[in-house]
Amino acid sequence: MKLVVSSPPHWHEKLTVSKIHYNFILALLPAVIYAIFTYGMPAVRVMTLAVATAVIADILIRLAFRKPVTATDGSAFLIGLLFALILPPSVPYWFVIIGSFLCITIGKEIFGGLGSNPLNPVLVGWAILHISWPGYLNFNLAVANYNLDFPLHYPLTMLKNGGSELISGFNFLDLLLGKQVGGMGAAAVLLILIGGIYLLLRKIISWEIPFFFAVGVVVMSAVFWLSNSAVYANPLFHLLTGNVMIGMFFLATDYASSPFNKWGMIVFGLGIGVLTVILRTLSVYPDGVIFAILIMNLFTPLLDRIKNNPKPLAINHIERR
Amino acid sequence: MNSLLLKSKEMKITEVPEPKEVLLPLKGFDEEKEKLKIKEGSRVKTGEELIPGVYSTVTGTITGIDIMSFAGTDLTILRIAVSETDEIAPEITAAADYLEKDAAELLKKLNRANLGFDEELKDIKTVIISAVDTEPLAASYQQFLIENPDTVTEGLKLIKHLTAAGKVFLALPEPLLSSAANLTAGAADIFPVKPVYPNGLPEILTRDISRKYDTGKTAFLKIEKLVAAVLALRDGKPFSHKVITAAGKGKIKNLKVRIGTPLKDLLQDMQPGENEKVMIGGPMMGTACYNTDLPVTADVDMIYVQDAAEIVKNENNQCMNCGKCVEVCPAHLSVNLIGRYAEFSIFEQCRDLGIQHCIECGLCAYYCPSGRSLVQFIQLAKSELEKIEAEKIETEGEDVE
Ligand code: SF4
Ligand code: SF4
Repeated sequence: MKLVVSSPPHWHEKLTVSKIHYNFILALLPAVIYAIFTYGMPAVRVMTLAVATAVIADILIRLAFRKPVTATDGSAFLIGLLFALILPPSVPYWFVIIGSFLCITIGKEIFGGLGSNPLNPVLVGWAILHISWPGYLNFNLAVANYNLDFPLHYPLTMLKNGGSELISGFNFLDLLLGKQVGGMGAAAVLLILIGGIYLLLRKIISWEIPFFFAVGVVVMSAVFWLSNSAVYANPLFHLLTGNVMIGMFFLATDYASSPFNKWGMIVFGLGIGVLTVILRTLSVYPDGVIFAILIMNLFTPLLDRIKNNPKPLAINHIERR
Repeated sequence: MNSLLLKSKEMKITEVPEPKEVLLPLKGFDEEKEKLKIKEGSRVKTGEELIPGVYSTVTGTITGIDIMSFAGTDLTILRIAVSETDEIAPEITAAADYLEKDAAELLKKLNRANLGFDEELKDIKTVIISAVDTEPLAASYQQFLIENPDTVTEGLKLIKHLTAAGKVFLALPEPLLSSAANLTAGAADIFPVKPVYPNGLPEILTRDISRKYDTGKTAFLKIEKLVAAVLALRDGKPFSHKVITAAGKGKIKNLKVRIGTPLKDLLQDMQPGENEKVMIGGPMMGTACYNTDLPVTADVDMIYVQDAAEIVKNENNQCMNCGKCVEVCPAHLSVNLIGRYAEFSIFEQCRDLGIQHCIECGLCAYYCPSGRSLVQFIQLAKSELEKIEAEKIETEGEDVE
């Protein structure tokens, strides 16, 4: 009789890499449905194109690097989908393809693939496009041909141009319910929040990064708002607009580019929140979330050096060993 | 990963029939020196000293010596054919008034009765007696507490007498709290524990108790050994039987077995099939065996047969840096980094990250979504570091010369 021998532990929780990615995708599903209902076929077009490009690029590059093809683990699918959800629905097809391709190649695989990317791959692709062809990422132009039941102005551009007077027209319930212009899925704030809470409950992401991200946003925007409420928006407005919600739960929490120990996560989250508001208020860009996350990604190796103090677990036995 | 809670009658400790043959590992066996004493055909009594520090757990006739492989080492095993009648070695005596005797003398007697208590542990301040099973599925300690309440009470008095420890804690699973309230008779404090892995591990119990109380130097003892000590001193019975949980094939039961019984005698109704796994120990820390000829030794608390379908195949993918291992590690180690350094043979970095504090509880690998064999990496790094240390000492010694 042949017995199997292997090292302990002999049980496993059975939450595998692919299950984690599929759970992320599941958590994004409500936002995907929102995008389809709000923007129709153009949204479907961008999402399928982004996902397909990402998966094909992942397969091709792994073949080229002579590494095992891991497209079924859902990682490339998730990157493509997240990339689509922060885009406006009107972007041309070549724009999506180039962006999605850059996410996978420069964002992820070039550094060694899953778990080794220093920056969030989705944001790398986005940032390159944003700098190369800024015109296509204009949310106001994107909805020009639509007839939707909410104000067709990107709230953050309004804030940038006109201060808090112009944004007094937005009501918070509408913003929460996704009745706002923005990334095709990112604007569905409540649905993203529900997805995020699902991930928290499944223990797929830990609460530190989203929570302290929110704290950072609220504290920093409160500082500005209290100093001059005629120019600066209040904290709730900041929380409910742009990429804050999707960034909180889906972008900042990318495993490889965020710290792995608690204190690192806390500083990381706070940093993103604070930087987001600073960039929104003081830079030329309406939304600062993505650059804030990329900047804090660069600090991750440093934050990981915050020592996880090993705790000796000592024991004496009464029996001799 | 809740540990099993016993309620049903099936968990009652049942005695298994005497084995035909008993196998005893001879620790520190030196063939040249011991040849004369251990001869084929010579008769031994229960409790008789075989080689220094190793006692027979059965009455019978020596039939030979074998080498068996377990957990990467070779064990020298003595085979004894079991006799019909059980005779106890004359050196082991009963004494009803044992509590009045001197502690040093009692410790000697315990050692003689195969209990191997450490006589050096004089300066301990606190003793923890544990009735909390260590592994998930295991339920032998808790059942032991339920079935031997009076002896436990007596044992708690004994342990105070033996060690002069200021405090004694009886750790038990929370659900047993109400039924055990009067058990300690003032001789110990009860420390209830949530019956969830890894709370029953000695290191974790020690840490949890020291967080709540001022403990000082602490020593640990399983409840079974406490009861065995009373039986040895009071009734003159050497430590020859062990209670273990046997789980597998949909069954789970507590068995009282003679120490040295081969596993195959205990697995009659849970025979492992082709390509299944048999473990000495439980699902989290157990050691898989190459065959079922190995004996139950004094340290074994559990044996576990795992069906082929349940066997975890480690894929050992690249680490995705999710941080789950770091989150669950009770020793607060950066396990992801340790795993990577060990994988690429950079062992000094593992040491700097505190790898020696790992208690090999297996939680990191249990949760790792990439299925990395983290415990195996850690064991490898630890043994390599030991080799490096040994070499260092050697070369330093040369320098001095
Ligand atoms: S086995 Fe893993 S979780 Fe357990 S102490 Fe060691 S490193 Fe930590
Ligand atoms: S649990 Fe596994 S995949 Fe996650 S960080 Fe630890 S070693 Fe890497």
